[in-house]
Amino acid sequence: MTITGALELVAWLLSAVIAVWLALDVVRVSRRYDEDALINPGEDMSAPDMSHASVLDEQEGTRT
Amino acid sequence: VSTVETPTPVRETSEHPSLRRVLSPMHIWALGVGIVLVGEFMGWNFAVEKGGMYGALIAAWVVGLLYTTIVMINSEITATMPAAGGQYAQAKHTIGPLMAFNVGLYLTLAYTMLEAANANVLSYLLATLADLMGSSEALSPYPFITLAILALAWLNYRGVFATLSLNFVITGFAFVTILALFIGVQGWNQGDELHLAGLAGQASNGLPYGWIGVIAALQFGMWYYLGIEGTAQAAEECRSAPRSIPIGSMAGMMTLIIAATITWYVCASLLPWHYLGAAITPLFDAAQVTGSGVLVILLLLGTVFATLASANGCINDGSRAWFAMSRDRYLPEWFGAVHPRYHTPFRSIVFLAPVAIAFAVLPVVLNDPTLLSTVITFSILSGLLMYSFMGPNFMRFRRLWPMGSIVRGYVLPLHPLPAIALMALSAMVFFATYLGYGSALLSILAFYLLASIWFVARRYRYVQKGAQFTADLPRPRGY
Repeated sequence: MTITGALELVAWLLSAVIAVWLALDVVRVSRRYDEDALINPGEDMSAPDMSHASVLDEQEGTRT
Repeated sequence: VSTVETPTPVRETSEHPSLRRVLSPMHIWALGVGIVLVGEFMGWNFAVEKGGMYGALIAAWVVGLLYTTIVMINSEITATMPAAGGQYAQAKHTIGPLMAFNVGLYLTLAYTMLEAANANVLSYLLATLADLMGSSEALSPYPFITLAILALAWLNYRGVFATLSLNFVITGFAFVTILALFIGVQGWNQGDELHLAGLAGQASNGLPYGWIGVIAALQFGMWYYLGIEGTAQAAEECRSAPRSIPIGSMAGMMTLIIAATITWYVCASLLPWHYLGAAITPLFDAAQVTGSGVLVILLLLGTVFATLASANGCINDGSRAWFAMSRDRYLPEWFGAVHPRYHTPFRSIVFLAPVAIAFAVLPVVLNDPTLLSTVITFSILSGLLMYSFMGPNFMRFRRLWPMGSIVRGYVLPLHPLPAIALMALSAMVFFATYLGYGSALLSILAFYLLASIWFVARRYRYVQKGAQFTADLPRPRGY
């Protein structure tokens, strides 16, 4: 086998290992955990602290 | 850059795994510059073919102004709404579901297509490397395209911190190779190796097609910066988005303007414009002209690393956009899952990998290299459509939440000038793109129109309407 052929074979083998690992992990997680628990509920933001708003606006006035 | 150190509020739930907040300004810089820097190594030089040497330089700076406004506008909104999906989340909160769906689709396709193009180019670079090393046998692109995308997808799957830390290293290396080329050719010393006056000093090579050539060059000026707006996708994973997004994005923009100017200067001083305008790897070719073996190796490695960094960042951004749309049920909710151990949108990452592989191998399977430029054009035009949304979106954002009504981690100065500049420059680049790719532009507009019809007819009923108001900002003015 030529060096080129060996390199291509190694690339295919590594690709196969990664693809199998990814597929198995997706399946494993889906089996082990409740589907509702896995789904992210949405943006993880709570109400911002409004106490700085006026200060920020003053700063904005000086910046512009 | 004026920012306020405001930790992004965290709502930990034991039931639902969430994206991990681990990123700093360094990672944001690595994400933004990493996606873009490949454009300095290839692509920008087609602007030379359209507008000549100085046409390409004017395009670099005018389009640089466009992207500066994008980064500044993005910084204010993203610091206020630090959510995965970036501009998709902005569209959701400020305009509504149909716009959000379109923006989310622009984002996903722009990054996935760019990732595919990067993988395709990477296989070409490896073949070139094998050729330089004296291999008599051509390297097949299939295994290397597949391996590049799967390996980077695996890295993204395992965690965002390692992914973007790696991007920092390889992007930094690629940027340093551009500086090394400038130093290696003694960029401050014209007349020795560099011949800017001879290669670009006349109308026949500086501005061969006059100002219409400069306008036509604008579409390729985008290559210098296309993708820097992707920093917004990582907002939900920043330790402090109001600090990291503005600092990382603006430092990235400064890096790119420096890199673009040096790239143009060195290439315009070393290569004739007819050659430069059609070259595939202009910086590497410039290094070859110097005759320095060290510079040739450095620039080849720089090109490979920049390509890898771009593909890596694209996987990160494309998957976040797809994930954000899915958890709001714009797409099947199944893709909105977060890995309980790695805290990444793992299903979105895995789903998009074969899509990218398919688009990357298509030009090879069909033996049609022009398909690669079609894939890239699709990516660029999707980005351009998003930019045309960002100006009006910012105007509306400031109207809904005027100054003083909410906390802003970064405040855009001189409003509304940047938004107006963005709209005007986007219109110019649209016109330039229409000149070069009129039919492609119309086809892509038709594609998004059909996708919108599908969304309204088949998907809108599933959309989590309340998600439009989850930003926990005060009630918008007029509502």
